[in-house]
Amino acid sequence: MTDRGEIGVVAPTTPTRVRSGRPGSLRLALVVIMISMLLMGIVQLTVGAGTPDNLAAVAVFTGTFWIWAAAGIVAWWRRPGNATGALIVFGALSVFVGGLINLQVDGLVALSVIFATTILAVAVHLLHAFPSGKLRGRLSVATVVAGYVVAIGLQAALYLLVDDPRAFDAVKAVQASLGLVVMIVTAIVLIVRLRAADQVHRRSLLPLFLYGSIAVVLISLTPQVLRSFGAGSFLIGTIQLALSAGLPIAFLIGVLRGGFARTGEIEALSAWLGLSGATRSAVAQALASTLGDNSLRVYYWSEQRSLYVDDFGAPVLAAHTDPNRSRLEVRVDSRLVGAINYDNRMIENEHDVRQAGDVLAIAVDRERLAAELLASNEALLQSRLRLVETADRERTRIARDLHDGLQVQLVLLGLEAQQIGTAPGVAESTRAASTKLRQRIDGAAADLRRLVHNVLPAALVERGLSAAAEDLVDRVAIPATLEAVVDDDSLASATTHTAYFIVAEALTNAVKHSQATLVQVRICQVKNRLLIEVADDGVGGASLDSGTGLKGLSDRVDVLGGTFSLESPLNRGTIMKVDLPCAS
Amino acid sequence: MRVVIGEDEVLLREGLRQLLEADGFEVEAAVGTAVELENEVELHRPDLVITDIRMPPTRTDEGLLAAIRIRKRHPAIAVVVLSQHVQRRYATELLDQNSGGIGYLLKQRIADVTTFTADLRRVAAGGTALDPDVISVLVSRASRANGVVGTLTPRQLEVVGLMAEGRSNAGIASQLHLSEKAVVQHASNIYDALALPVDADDHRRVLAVIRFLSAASSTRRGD
Repeated sequence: MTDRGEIGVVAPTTPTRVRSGRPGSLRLALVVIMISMLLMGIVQLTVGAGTPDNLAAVAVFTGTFWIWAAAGIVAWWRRPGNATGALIVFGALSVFVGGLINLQVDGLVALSVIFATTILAVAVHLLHAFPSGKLRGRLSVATVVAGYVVAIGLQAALYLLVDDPRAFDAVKAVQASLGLVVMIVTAIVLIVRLRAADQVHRRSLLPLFLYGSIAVVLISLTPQVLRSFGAGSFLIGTIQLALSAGLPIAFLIGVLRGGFARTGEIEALSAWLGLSGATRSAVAQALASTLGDNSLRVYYWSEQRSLYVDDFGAPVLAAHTDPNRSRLEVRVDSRLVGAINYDNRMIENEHDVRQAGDVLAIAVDRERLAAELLASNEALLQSRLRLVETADRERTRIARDLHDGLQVQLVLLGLEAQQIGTAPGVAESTRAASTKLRQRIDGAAADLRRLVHNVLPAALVERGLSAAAEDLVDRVAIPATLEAVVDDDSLASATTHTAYFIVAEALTNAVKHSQATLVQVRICQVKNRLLIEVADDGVGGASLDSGTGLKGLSDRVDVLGGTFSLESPLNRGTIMKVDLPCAS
Repeated sequence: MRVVIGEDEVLLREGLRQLLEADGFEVEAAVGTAVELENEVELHRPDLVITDIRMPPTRTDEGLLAAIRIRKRHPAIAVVVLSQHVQRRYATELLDQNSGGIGYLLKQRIADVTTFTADLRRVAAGGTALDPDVISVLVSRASRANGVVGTLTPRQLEVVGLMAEGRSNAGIASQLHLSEKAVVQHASNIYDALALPVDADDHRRVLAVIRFLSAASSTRRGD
């Protein structure tokens, strides 16, 4: 968790791809829609072939229909969380229906006339709903509804009133003026949105809005304008359709550029989070990618500071007045753990974010547990180190007390005992007894000397590791060599003590168990590491579990953050290698 | 004989002073730090310096370092270093010069007053007094050493070890249950093996000890 290098799974600049284990049924549905629309176009072309006069017009309509259909399906496929794709597919249907008039089948002609201008309403709808595909604000909703009323409702009225010229003209006038209002309101809404957008969004919104608005206006005005120049119906229709065919492509590009593709399912994301031990920034990236909003940010709640912080622990300003950004709080057992800040124009469905939030909650909770574990582990390591240091201090104190106190006492006692015997006029028996007593005191002193030496050798106190190791090697009962390249003064006392006791224990084991004829000790300091190697040519078979003091020493090495290895194959000698850190 | 004592433990310092004075030594000064010790030596130029190894302020090895400096500056002043623990490295450092006048003993040896004062007088006269504890280390190493010292027989090593302790031929003979004549023969063989020039016996003894000590220390260990 601590290693930010793990982000390496995910290149920092490219979105994380979280692959779903099973392709959702949505994909299947899109395939079915695609096949259906292909077939519808083929049917239209086939029927159109029966009326050779209109075949060219049928072909142009079918081509435009397919362009809309293809753009819609691609948008839907790449951005399953965005309704734009569905809307474009709906536009394709309206183009299809609009083209049925050319088939000259009675029922279809009526249908086709009623829905002839629906494509304009769809275009207005797309403009208002971009980029999420969802309408925002009552004005937008009202405008789009008005657009559909003008395009379908009034068109239907015109169809029914075709025999009543006065009513027809009146409705026609209403349709034209209402259509103009819809266009003006749409233009105002778009301009307001452009002004509110940030630089990045503005760059992708502006060309789309311009093209969309102009296309809608031109499509509605083309017939009057061109007819006055005496253009034929086919040319007019073709130009209208060409203008309309540009719309789905423009929206497709807009949708795909607005964010990166939503690449996976929430379940896949949660599995990935659970398995990979993702870092915080990787979690945020994965969420952004999964939801298809590259501006998505994940904030974490800091309980100590009572504020949100980002991936790196820097505080996040609380007030966010941008109406385009929403914040969803993430809770674990009603405890606030973080928040997801996202662009509500990119993600229309709060449910998706909430689901993502649940996944995030798991990740955050897991991270909290991991952090607690790390903290308690760290505390444990510190306490182990303190124990070792305390033990060393105690050892030093005991050795010093014995050295300064008891050993001196024994020298003085021996001296006094001897002086009783050497005093003038003392009986021979007393003299002999006093010498015996002095010798016994000497014996006790020798025992004490060995004890003090085992607790903490004088050389270690007086000179450091090399001298102490040398004294050890000097006194080994089997031939032993020492190579020591160490700056004794640079070593911390815990390192010095540990290294010394390792050599002492290894030598003791070699003498007691290995039947070796030679022991080689190497101690060298390489940069900030102290390397210790004790090798013998004995019978091998030593192990940490064999009840020797090795286990305790390997624990000590572990506490200091070093490594301990023991190779002791049967009859092939024993090599013990220890690597200790020694900050100098 | 004039003596300066360096020992930080007050009871021991006074004990030493008493036993030395009782034995006819003149104690010029008895101090508790290495710095004071060197000052007193400069002041009194004694025949003999007795010093502890660990003394204030760091209580590590300043007594030893002071002893080595005193020997360098005043080769005529004999030095006996006392310690709770003896080791080869210190013995080697003390006996670096090509001369005697060095003693290196466990503190506990003080209690055997007769032997101790005899050791002091011998060292003051240019002899050596190395502790049996450190001699045993040297002998075991010398037995594995290459070069001339490695060719000495175990018996010869025992003899040269006892010489290093400062034992007389008579003392060696009684310790090894040999005749004094046999000891003299061993000593002569040792001198020959170490190629020591024919000289006064005392000086040859010191040279033999120094050869033995430096051979045991400088040879590649274990070879």
